Amino acid sequence: MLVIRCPWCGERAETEFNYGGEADIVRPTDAEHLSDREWGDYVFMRKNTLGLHREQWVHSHGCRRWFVAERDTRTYQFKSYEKLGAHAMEKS
Amino acid sequence: MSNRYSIFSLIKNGLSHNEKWGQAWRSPEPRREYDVVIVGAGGHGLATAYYLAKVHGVRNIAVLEKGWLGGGNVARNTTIVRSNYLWDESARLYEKSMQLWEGLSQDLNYNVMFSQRGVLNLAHTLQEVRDTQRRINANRYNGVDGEWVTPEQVRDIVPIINLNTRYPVLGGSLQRRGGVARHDAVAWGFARAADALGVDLIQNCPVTNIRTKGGAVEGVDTGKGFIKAKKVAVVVAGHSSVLAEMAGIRLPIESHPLQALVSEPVKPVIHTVIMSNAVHAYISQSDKGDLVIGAGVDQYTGYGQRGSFQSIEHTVQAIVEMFPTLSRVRMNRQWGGIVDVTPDACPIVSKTDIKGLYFNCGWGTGGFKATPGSGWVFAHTIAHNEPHPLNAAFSIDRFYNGHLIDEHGAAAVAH
Amino acid sequence: MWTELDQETPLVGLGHPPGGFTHGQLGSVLLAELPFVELTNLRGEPGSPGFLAAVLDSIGSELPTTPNTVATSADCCAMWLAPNEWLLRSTGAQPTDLARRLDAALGRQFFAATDQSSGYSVIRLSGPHARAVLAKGSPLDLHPRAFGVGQCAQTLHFKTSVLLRRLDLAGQEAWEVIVRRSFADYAVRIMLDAMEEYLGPGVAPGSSSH
Ligand SMILES: Cc1cc2nc3c(=O)[nH]c(=O)nc-3n(C[C@H](O)[C@H](O)[C@H](O)COP(=O)(O)OP(=O)(O)OC[C@H]3O[C@@H](n4cnc5c(N)ncnc54)[C@H](O)[C@@H]3O)c2cc1C
Ligand SMILES: [Zn+2]
Repeated sequence: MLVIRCPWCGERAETEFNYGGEADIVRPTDAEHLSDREWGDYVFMRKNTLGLHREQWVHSHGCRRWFVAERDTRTYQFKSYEKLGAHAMEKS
Repeated sequence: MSNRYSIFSLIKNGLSHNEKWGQAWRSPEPRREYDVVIVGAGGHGLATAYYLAKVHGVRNIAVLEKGWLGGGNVARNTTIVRSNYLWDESARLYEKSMQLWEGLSQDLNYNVMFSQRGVLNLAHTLQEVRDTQRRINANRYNGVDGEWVTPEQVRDIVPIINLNTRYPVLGGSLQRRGGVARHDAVAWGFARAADALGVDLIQNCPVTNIRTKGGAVEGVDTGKGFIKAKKVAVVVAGHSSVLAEMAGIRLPIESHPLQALVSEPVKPVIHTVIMSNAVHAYISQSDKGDLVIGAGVDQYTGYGQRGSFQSIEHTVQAIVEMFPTLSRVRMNRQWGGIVDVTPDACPIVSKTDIKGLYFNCGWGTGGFKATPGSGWVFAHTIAHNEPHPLNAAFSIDRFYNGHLIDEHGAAAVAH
Repeated sequence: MWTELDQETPLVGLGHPPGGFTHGQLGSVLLAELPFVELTNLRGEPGSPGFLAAVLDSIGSELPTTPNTVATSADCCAMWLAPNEWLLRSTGAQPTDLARRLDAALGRQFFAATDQSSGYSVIRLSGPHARAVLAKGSPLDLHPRAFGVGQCAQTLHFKTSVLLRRLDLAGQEAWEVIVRRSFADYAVRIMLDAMEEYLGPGVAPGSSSH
């Protein structure tokens, strides 16, 4: 079982969390101009990185917040955590 | 085949104290160039090579394997073979595979121990009963055998089952032609038969790059240098996205750990394969007597060939609830493989935008049963540069044109 | 006709006396249901001007902003659930009508105060083996060094979500477990099972000796 550090609650067991897949996928805003190719890419295609992977988790049985983590998909070791939107907020 | 197995070869080799059996296959050094390079010596890659040589007469083939032949999912699965998928496209593909299984040991001159002991899919809720009956009807319409069995019939087939669990058993579907095969033997049988047709099987030879030029494939860089190839066919299961990235292609695949475990050998108690989507568990008993139990995928993506403990725990809880008498059986071994999961639980057997580059992947948690069928249609696709009618619907294009084939129902517990 | 008197807790199926379900012995481990506790879920932005002050004014308690901590006042205990969410548990004998008081006090703020009393069951485990019983279904470290008085945590108990709070009952370690009403039966039955080894023979469900 993985031990995951929720940015709010600290270290908790994996069973308290749900995985949310690849991070930083941005929903296209100009939907009506998108080609089938671009839609397919956005909806289905994934990096599925071997190595350091930026991904989303949610602390479902805890504080129910989403956050982004960097994890090595070979060793499953977590390298960093950040609150969701922390990036966006810094930029704006 | 110089090394044909038969009653005479058994007697002859017996007389020489079994010390003169020939090697099952060669271990050649790679040539500089091949007509077809197949990446990945799992079941699907080896079957592809075999049918390319046998059915399509292609002689100049290499299979490149980064580790050892049969070290991937082909020898990590729980060996369930069935063809009772819901949709026409998948039912036909898996049924083709079933028909190949039925003659495989003879065809390969290798005993793959295919045992049609039946596969029972249990229904625990009224909705599951309706879905299961619908699937049985769809199966029959496609020429796939299937029958509804009542709880009493389930008990007759599996006397040790506890029908009145938290989710009581309300019946199930039985595919009598389904069953199990010995997975290592499948890899070895295809390897030996392909080798006999001149296919070079090259182990310890990781592909590190796919070279393309002007939209066409040129060859692959490997641990043993550059190998030129007119066609490159990638069949690497859990590593599909890694190979796709080498060629600049995107795939709708996520790789997840999937685990299984076996018990100490016990006297025969389970004579068929029992699967339950609702409580998420499935079990069979090997000829040695081990109970073979499969878990679900771990939620996260990973390439570590191991998963988390709670996935195992969850499955074992479900097994013990259904078979209380197994609660004190000791488990001997547990392991994981990396499975390539697609959004519609269906495989991709397809040409790509790069000329001469083909991908066969996305079999996820249930591709062992498809091994011969997958090799059959992929070989056709490579040889003719056009899909076989049975895999035309399974191209990458479906994720762009929306023609998904949603098999989550039939594939959910998934093996 | 429905009246307050007809109210039943979800543990009625376990055959309890009207005052809530109890089982065990205080000398070992005692499980007691605290029926019909008033619970209010409060959401709001702690950073929003005047919000914390207005809450303090209306319920007499600070809102804890440190994750998984608790703040208490005379008749209320505020538990941190998330950066913008708290559970307010009334501790007095009288109904405190927190949701209405907050509505009145926070009228112009961006917030939501929702009475959730009927959505949850409140269980208390006490006695020397309380922690050992709870630990059987908990992924958390429940040792006082890691989980002391004044802390709370949302977590799993076996397969259901719970909110745990460490209590101090006259110097004795005790725990409060707040669980969704529809999972209360499950949670209590699995705790009863976990208690068995500490109670020994002869303690029938429903018996208590405090
Ligand atoms: C625990 C478990 C239980 C399962 N149970 C069932 C079941 O009951 N029934 C069923 O039908 N299916 C089952 N499956 C799924 C099935 O095993 C797979 O779908 C199927 O084996 C995949 O095809 P393969 O045999 O070709 O894969 P693999 O054997 O994994 O072959 C892929 C090969 O590619 C090689 N490779 C990867 N990268 C490179 C590279 N860069 N260069 C060279 N080679 C490379 C790998 O080393 C590997 O040998 C199960 C899988 C698992 C893990
Ligand atoms: Zn949290």
